Amino acid sequence: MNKELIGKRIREEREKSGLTQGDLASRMGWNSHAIVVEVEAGRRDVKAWELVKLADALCVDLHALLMLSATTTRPYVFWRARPLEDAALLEKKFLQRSDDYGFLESQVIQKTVVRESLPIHPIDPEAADWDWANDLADKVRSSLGLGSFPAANLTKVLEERYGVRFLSLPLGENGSAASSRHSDVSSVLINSDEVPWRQIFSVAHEVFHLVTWDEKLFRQIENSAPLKDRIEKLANAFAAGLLMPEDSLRAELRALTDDSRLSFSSLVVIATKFGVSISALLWRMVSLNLLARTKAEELLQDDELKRIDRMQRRGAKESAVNFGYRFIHLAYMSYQKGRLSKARLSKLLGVSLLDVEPYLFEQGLAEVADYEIAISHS
Amino acid sequence: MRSQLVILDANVIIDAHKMGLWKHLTSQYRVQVPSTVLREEARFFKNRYDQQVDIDLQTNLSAGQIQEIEATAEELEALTLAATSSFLRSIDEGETEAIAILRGGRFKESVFCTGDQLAIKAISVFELSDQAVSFERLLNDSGSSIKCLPRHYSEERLKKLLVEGFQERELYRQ
Repeated sequence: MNKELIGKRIREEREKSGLTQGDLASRMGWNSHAIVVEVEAGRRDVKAWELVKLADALCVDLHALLMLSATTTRPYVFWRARPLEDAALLEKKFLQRSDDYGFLESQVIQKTVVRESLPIHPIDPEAADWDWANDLADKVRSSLGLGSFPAANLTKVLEERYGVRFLSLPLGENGSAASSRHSDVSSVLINSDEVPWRQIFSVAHEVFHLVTWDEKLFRQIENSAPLKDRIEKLANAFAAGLLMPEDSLRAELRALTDDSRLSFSSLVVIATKFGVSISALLWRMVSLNLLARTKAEELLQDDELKRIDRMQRRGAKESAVNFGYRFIHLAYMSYQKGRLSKARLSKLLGVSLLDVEPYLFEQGLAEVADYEIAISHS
Repeated sequence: MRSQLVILDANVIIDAHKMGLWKHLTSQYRVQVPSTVLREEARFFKNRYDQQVDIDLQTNLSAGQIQEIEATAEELEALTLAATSSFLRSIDEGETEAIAILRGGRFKESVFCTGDQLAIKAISVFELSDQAVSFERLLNDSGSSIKCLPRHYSEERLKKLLVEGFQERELYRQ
């Protein structure tokens, strides 16, 4: 492969990443964008280690960078709110991680294992209303077998039974989630900077987009703020309905209510039980006519309620859902089976080669000489 | 006498530093380090007190104690075309560069030393077993030995993995 072709591929990937030549130079530690200009024009040799660094900066595999042309079409990603900075690069990183996920699955899971497909429920954005979203949540919760407190096993069921790939990236305080569904591969990107209850709500919200996936509609609503807003509100209604089944919520409220009064601490306990924020709980109560809208608005401004919520959930951040759990397990099993080098394992886990063992230990895994037993499937 | 040319993978460099064998290795062998390993991977090790200590290969390089070797874009591309994509995704960039260099044939006098099982298999997959050497052998041949050398650096394991790699070669080549 000559310098011109390498330069062309680098330019293609840079443009897909939404980076300027200056951005790339700075990510490479080069002191001038002129170096990128020279590289892309095929006038400068690119050393092997520079290619590795370029691939990393452009969120592309080294081998994919060395292919003559980028052949695969990038799957569509639907963002709740597209990030203002580095959106294209974040999207590439998300899809690259999803691709790594699939690769690890192919290394570990037998090809004969066929996963169920997530159901599709077509949406008519003009006709769909709150009741429709709520009914859909009931249907999905029932078909997924999520029980009375769905937050507890939502991600596990989606990962294990339907092969949904959950990935997390730090998207900042105002970052939102994203999802992608193509060729029966469903991936969800969660903001690792969010608190656990917001993350769970985001998962449920993104499930709405996955089960109503319609790429044509999504592309259309990207240019229509009112329609986009409407779809997102439906997704929120769905998420609330999915995570807080009406019967279970009413039962919990009945159990903790004295003379039609509910204490702030009980409110927080209920929210914690359902794995949601106080805000999500209050709005769900409004939608079920259990609370007046004005009262909900007033409560959301109440400093005492905020303080009690903070106090009671102090430890919850530590027990955050680990969205990389299955990914880590797949990488570990692939390594244990001798199908992944340790250096590659360290890259996939995002830790240095030296830290692989302590990292695995923290996850309850160990690098061991393995043994096998015979299993009868009959 | 520094006669034998030895290409070292990141894991060997890191462990040689950890075991206090780095000076010995560079004095006994003409050590070659793939550029990706040198610049991106072998950067620090942890001493017995679990403290992170920098590995300064640049100083070794300036002093002529090690040599940086680099795969050409053609060699990397040739490997990309010769191996299955799943195999290429299973090894990291430093290992990829080392295998590409060996396949390129410019360093026929060099032997490659790694403790990683897939990287060892890769040597054999591309029929380069004559250029593989175990860390144990390197130490023994240079008059040094270490009692508790990790098992993955043993000569026995190297031989076993080379056989396995050769048997599995069709899975990894395209």
